[in-house]
Amino acid sequence: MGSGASPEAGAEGVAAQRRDPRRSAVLWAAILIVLGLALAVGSGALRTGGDKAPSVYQRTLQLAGEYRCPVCQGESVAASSAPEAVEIKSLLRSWLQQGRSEAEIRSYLVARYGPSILEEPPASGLSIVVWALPCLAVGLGAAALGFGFRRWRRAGAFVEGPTGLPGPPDVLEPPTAPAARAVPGPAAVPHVRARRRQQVVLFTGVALMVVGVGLWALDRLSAPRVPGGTITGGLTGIQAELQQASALAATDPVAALAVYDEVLTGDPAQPVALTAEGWIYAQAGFAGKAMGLLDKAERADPSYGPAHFYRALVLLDYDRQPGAAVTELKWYLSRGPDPSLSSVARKALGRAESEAG
Amino acid sequence: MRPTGRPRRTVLWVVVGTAVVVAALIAVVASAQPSSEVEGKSPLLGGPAPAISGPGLGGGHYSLAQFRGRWVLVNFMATWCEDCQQEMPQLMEFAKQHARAGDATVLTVADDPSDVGQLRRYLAAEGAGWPAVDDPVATVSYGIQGLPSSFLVAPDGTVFAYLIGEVRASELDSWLQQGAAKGFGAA
Repeated sequence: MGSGASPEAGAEGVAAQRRDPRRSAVLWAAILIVLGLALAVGSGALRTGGDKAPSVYQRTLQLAGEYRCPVCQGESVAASSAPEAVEIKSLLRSWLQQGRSEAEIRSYLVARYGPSILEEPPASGLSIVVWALPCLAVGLGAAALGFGFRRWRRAGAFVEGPTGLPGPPDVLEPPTAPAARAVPGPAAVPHVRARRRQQVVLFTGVALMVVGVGLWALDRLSAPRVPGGTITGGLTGIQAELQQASALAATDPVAALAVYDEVLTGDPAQPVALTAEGWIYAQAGFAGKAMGLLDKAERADPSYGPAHFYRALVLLDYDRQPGAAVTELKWYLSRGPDPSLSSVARKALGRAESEAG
Repeated sequence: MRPTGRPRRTVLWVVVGTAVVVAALIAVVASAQPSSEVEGKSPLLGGPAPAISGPGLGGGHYSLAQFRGRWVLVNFMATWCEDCQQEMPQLMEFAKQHARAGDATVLTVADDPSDVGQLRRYLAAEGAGWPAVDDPVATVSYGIQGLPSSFLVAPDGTVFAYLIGEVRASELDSWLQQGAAKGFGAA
C-alpha cells in the first residue's frame, strides 16, 4: 500500500476483498472438490477396470468379496482358498448362472451363517455406530464450517458498518501492517476473542470433517479384509505391473484380474499373467477355466515353474487327479523351485502320492 | 511444585476410568466358556435340517433323510483337524452305545473335498462303522464356521443343537434326554 493511501481507503479495500464473491466461490468449490474426491476414493469409483461388463467369473468374485470367509481370520470369501470359501464361490457361480438375484443369495447365506457372514453388516444394534459415526462427524463438521464461515462473512460486514470501528482481523490472512501485531488494547480484546472463537469453530469443523471422512475411508478400505497370506504371493521374477496384480490378488481378486487382463491384452501368451489368473480362478472354484489358463501358460513357456506348480495344485485339489499332480510336482521340485513354494510343493507331493497310491 | 486440586481430580478420574475398563475386560475374559464342547448359535436351530446327500466314503450313497426316525449327530470332520481326531473316541463310544437300540447314529460329513481320500482311510483305520458322506454343499448349507462342528438332528428332522468343539458321549446323551423331554424323541 502506498504511503498516500488513507486508512478509510485501506479499510474499503479489505472490505471489498472480503465481499469478493469470486473468492468465496473458489473456497467453496475447493471444499466441494476435496470432499468429492474423498467420497470417490472411499467408494472405489476411481478404480480401474469398471467399464467392461463383468463375466460370470468376475461377478462371482465381486460378489464373493461381499462375504467374509466363515472359517478365516479377516479374509473375504473372494480372497480365501479355505474349503468353505471355495465351496461358497462355487455355489455363488452356479446361483448366478441360474439367474438367482444377489438379494436371494444374500438371504440364503445370512440364513445359514447369520449376519456375521456379511463384510458390511446391516446397520442395526452396535453396528449402527460404525455407520452413523462417520456421518455424524461429517454432519457436525459441515455445520461447524457453515457456522464459522457465516460468522466470518458477518465480520466482513462489520468492517463496513456505519460506526467506522475497525473490524476483527481476517482469520485467514494474518495482518501485514506492523501496527496490527501490536498488543491489543482493551477495546480490541472482544475482537481477539471473537477471532479465537472463529478459529476454534473452523478448526473443529475441519477436524470433524477429516475424522468423519477418515473413518469412512477406513471402513471402505478395510472391507476387503487383509488375508493372513496366500501362496498367490509367491510368484517371482515378474514385472512391476504383475507384482502389483499379485499383491492385489490376495485382497481384491477382481482388480487383480483386471490388471492381468490388461497385460494379456498386450501379450496373450504372458505366462506369469496366465498362471496368476489361472490360480485366482482355481481359488474361486472355476477349475475348468483355471486349467485352461494354466495349460496355456505351460504351452507359452514350458520352463516356467509356477505354471507347473499351480497346475499340480488344481489337479490335486480341484480335479482330483493325484497321479497327474505327482508328475507335475516332481517336475517342479526337480528344477530348483522357489523357496517360498517348495515346502508347499513337497507337502502337496506327499498328499498326491498318498491319494494316488 | 505440587499439583493443584483440578489436575489431581482429573488424574483420579483417569485412574478410576482405566481401572473400570481393565476390570470389565478381566470379567469378560474370566467368564468366557471353555474351548471344549460349547453350544453354538446357529440360525438353523429349531428349523428343518438342510439336506445332506452324496457318495458314501466307504461306498454307496447316503442322505440325511434316510435316517429319519433316529437322532443323527451330523459331524463335520477333516483329517487335518487335530480336535476332530481327539473327539473320535467319544464318537466311537456314542455310536457303540446307540448301535444296538438303533435310536441314534453319527453321520460324518467330509469338510474338505481335497481331504476325502485321507478321511476315508482314517475312518477305516479307526474302525468307525457309521456312515460318512462327501457333500461339499453341506458345509455351506449348515453354515460351518470351524471344526469340529456337530449338529444334533432330532428324529423329526429338526436341528436340535449345534455343538462347537469336541463332543463328549455323556453330554450327547444328556442332549438326547433333553430333546426327548421336549418331545423331540419321535419322528
